[in-house]
Amino acid sequence: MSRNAEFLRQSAVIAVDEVHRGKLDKAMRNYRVAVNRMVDQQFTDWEALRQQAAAVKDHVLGHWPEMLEQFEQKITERGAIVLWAEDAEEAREHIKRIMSRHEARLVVKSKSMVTEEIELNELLESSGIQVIESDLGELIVQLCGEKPYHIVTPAMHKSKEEISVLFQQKLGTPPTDDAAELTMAARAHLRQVYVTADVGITGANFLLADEGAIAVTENEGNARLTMGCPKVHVVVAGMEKMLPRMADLALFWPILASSGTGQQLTSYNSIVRGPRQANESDGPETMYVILLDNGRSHMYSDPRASEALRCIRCGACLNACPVFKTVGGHTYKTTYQGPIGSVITPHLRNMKDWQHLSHASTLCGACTSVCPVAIDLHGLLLENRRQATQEQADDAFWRFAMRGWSFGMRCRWRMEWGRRLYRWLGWLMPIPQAIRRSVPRLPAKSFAEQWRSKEKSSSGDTP
Amino acid sequence: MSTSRERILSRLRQAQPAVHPPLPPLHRDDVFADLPPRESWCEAFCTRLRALHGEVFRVADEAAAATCLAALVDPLNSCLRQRHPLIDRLVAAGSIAEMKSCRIYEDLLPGSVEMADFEAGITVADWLIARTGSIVVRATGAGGRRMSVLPPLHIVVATEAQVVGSLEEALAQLREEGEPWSMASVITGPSRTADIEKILVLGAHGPKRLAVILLPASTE
Amino acid sequence: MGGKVRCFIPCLVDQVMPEIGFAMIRILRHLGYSVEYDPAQTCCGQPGFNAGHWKESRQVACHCLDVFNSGDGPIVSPSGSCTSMMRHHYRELFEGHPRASDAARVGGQVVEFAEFIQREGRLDDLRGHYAGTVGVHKSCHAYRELGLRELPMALLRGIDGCELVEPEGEPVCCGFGGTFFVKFPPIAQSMGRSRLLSFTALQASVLVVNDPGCVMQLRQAAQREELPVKVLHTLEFLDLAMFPREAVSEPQR
Repeated sequence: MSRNAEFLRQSAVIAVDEVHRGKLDKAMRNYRVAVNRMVDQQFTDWEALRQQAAAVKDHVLGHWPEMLEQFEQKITERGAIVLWAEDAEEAREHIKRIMSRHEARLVVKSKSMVTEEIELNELLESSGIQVIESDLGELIVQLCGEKPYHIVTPAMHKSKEEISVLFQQKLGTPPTDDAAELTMAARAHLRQVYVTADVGITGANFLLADEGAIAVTENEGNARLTMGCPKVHVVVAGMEKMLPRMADLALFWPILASSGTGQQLTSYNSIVRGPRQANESDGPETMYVILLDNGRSHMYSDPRASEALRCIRCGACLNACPVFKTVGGHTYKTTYQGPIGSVITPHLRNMKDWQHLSHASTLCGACTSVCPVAIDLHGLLLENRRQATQEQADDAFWRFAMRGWSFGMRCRWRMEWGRRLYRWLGWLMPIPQAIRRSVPRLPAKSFAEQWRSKEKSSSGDTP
Repeated sequence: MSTSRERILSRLRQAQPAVHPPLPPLHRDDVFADLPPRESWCEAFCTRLRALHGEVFRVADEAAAATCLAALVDPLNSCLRQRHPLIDRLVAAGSIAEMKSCRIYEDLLPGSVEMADFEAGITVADWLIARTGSIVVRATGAGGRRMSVLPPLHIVVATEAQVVGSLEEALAQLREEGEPWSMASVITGPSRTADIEKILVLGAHGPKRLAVILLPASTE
Repeated sequence: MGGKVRCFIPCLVDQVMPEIGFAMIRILRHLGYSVEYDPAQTCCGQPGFNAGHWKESRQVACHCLDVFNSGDGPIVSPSGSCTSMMRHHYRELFEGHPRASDAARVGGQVVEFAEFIQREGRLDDLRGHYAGTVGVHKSCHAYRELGLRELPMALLRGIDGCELVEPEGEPVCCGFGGTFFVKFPPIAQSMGRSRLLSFTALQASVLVVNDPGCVMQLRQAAQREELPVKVLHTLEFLDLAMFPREAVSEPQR
C-alpha cells in the first residue's frame, strides 16, 4: 500500500475515534494556557523575540560548515571524539563499533528524536544489547513496543489506566491509577540501571560552536543521569542543532521551554563540553559525538526548505495543529510528526512517498503563528506541494483534475456548464460519498446568471 | 581518502548562501520582561524557586545554617556531601557526621553502585539566578555530575553573593570560568514530569526535593 | 457618502452559495455605494495554487487579471482567503512573469468586506437587530494572513439584541482547506464537527463565519451531524439583521 493510501486509511479510522480525541484534548487543554501565561510573563515582545531567534539560526545556516568545524575542534581538544554520519546507516555503524569497543551489554538512553530517526533501539536490540529508555514517556512507548507519538510528549496518547496495566505486566507494579505512583515505579525501575549501564546515549538540543559543547534540555533528570553515570557517553545530534555562542542559550533555553511545555526554564538545562576532566571527581571516561546529516545537507541546498533547519523541535506546531489533534502522532508514520514533520520528511526521505503529508494541512497557519523561530511552516507546505508537482511526484489524477479545473475556470460559460453537469450527472460521477456530503446541492442559477436577470428586471435598483 | 566528514562539509559549502544575516548582538533586554532591581534579587530568587516547589531557607549565619542542615537530614538514614570547606564546617557544627552515615562523595569509588541508595546530596553551587530561581552547578564543584541529581533530596548551600540577575549573566560568568569543567547544569526546581496525562509529578528521576540554604553575602 | 466599488464574487459564492453575494451587494448599496459587477469573472486561482499546480493557477489568475485590470477602485470581496490569495500570493505566483505588475495592481485593490467597511469608517452604519446567541467563527486566512483579529466582532457591533460568543483561545480551523476537504474527507469532517461542537457548547443557535469556504464546510457539517445551529456567512447574517422585512432566501438550499 502506498504511504498516502495508508495515511488515508488510518486517518479515516482515528478521525472518528472519540476516545483518542478525548485523551488528546485532555493532554492539550492546559498547554496553550501555560504557554501564553509564560510568554506574557517572561517576554515583552514575542514577535521581536522570535525574529531574533530566527536571525541567530539564519546566521548559523550562513556559517554552518565553519561552525561544525569549530565545534569539532573545540570539543576534541577536551577529549571528546567526533564522528560524522552521512546517513542513518553510517550512524548505526558508528554506534555498533562503539558498543563492541566498550563491550556494552546494557545501554541507558535519554529522550532523543534523532535516535528514533536512525532506529537505534532496533539496532541495539538486534545486536543483543539491552537498551532502556529513561524518559518516562519514552519508557512507556518502549514497553508498549510503539514509536513516540509526539516529539516532546511521546506517550501523550496513553491514559493512566493503560499505563497502569502496562506497568503491571512489564514492571510488576501493583495496579494504580495514580500518576505519581506510576512515575515512582518507573523511577525505581531505573535507579540501578543508571549506575550499572555500560553506555549512556543522549541527543543534544543544541551544539555550541564557540565552546565546542552540547546542551541538553529536560525536566526529569534522566539525561543528567544518563550522561553522568555510565563510563561512556554517546551523543547523537542532528547537525542543524548548532548555535554560534553559548550565550545564545540565554535566548534559546527560555523559548524552548516556553514553547515546548509552557515553562520559564525546564528543570535541567545542561552543557557538556567533553568527558570527565582531570580535576573532576566523576563523569564518563569517553565521550563520542555523532553528527548526523541524513538528508539535512540536501535540504540545505534548497533555498526555501532550508528555513526549516532552524527548527528547535519544541513541538509547538504539533500542539497548535488541528490536523494533528484529529489524526494523532502515529498516523504520520514519520519520526517527526505534525506540521514540521510534514515539511521536512519529504526532504529528508523522498518527495514521492511523503509529499501527501504536505497536502494533509488546511494551511490554516496556526503552526506558523506559534513557531518560536518563525519558520513559515504553512508556506513551506505550499512550497512542497509546488515542488512535488514540478517533479511530477504528485499523483496523476490530480494533475489531470487540475488541468480540467483550469480549463473550466478560465471562462464564464465553461464554469457554468461545469456546475450544470455536476447538478445533472453528478450522481453518475465516481465521487466518494464523503466528499458529496461536504458539498451542498448546487443552485440552478449561478450568482452571475441571477445577477443578469435581476439587473435586467430592476435596472439598477436593489435586487 | 574522502571521508564522510569531508563529503558532508563539501556539500554544505556548495549550498552555502552567498549572503547571510549578521550575528545579532547578545543584548536582549528589549524582548525580556524587566529584571527586578538588584537589591531584590535574593527575594526574587526565593519567590521564583518556591513557586517551582523548591525550598529556600534564608539563614542569618553559619550556626543557623548548620541547624537548618541538621534538621533537613535528621529524618534520613544516609547522606552524601561534597568536600568543601563551608560544607565541612556546617556538618561539623551540626554534628551531622556523628548522627548519620554522612559520606564524602569524593571518597566513594567513581563507579560505586551504592551511590543510588543515598538519601540526600549536599553540594555548593556556582551561581543562583534571580529571574528564574535557578541554581548553576558545575561538575568540578558540585560533587561531580551525579551528586546534584542522583539522591532524592538535593541540598544546596549557597550565599547571597552568588545571586546573579539573569541566565544571560550566569552564562557570561560561566564563560569567564578558566577551570576546565566538563559539565554545567542550570537546575530550575526539583525533577518533574508530566508525561502521564500531563499531570505534574515531582521527582521523576532526579531529586524530589530541592532545598537551598541561603547564607548572607559575607559568608566565606 | 459612498462611491464606486467593484465586487469580487468568489467561485464558491458564484456557483454554490449566490445568496452571500447578493447580501453583500444589498448592504453595500444600503450604505450608498454604487456597485459594479462584471459577470466575466470566475475565480482567483487559489485552488490550483494551494494544490501546488501553479501553472494552472496562473492561467486562471490571468483571467481574473483580465477582468479587473481595466477598471479602477476598490475590489470588495466576501472572502479573506481569496483576498489574501490576490493580495499576497499573486506576488509569488507572478514572480518574474510578464503580468507581475498587473497582478500587483489588482492584488493591491482587493479588500475584504470587513476591511473595507472599517477603512471607510462605516462600522457603525451597519445597524440591525437579531435576538439570540451568535457564535463567531474567525476564518483562518482572514485572521492570520490578513490580520483581521477583532474585526469580525467589530463588524457586528451595530447589531443589537444578540450576544456574540466564541470559544476560548485562538480560533481553530474548521477543516475546509480548499483541496484538503476533497483529499482527506474524514479528517475534514471530524475537524468541522469538533469546531461546531465548541460553538454548540456555548449555546450558539447561529454561527457567523466570514469566509465562504468555511461556511460551506460548517454548514454541511451541521447538517450531517444534525446539530441545532444555523451557519451563516457574516454578510448573510448582517443582511438578515439589517433588513428583517425582506425575504432572505433559505441558506440551506
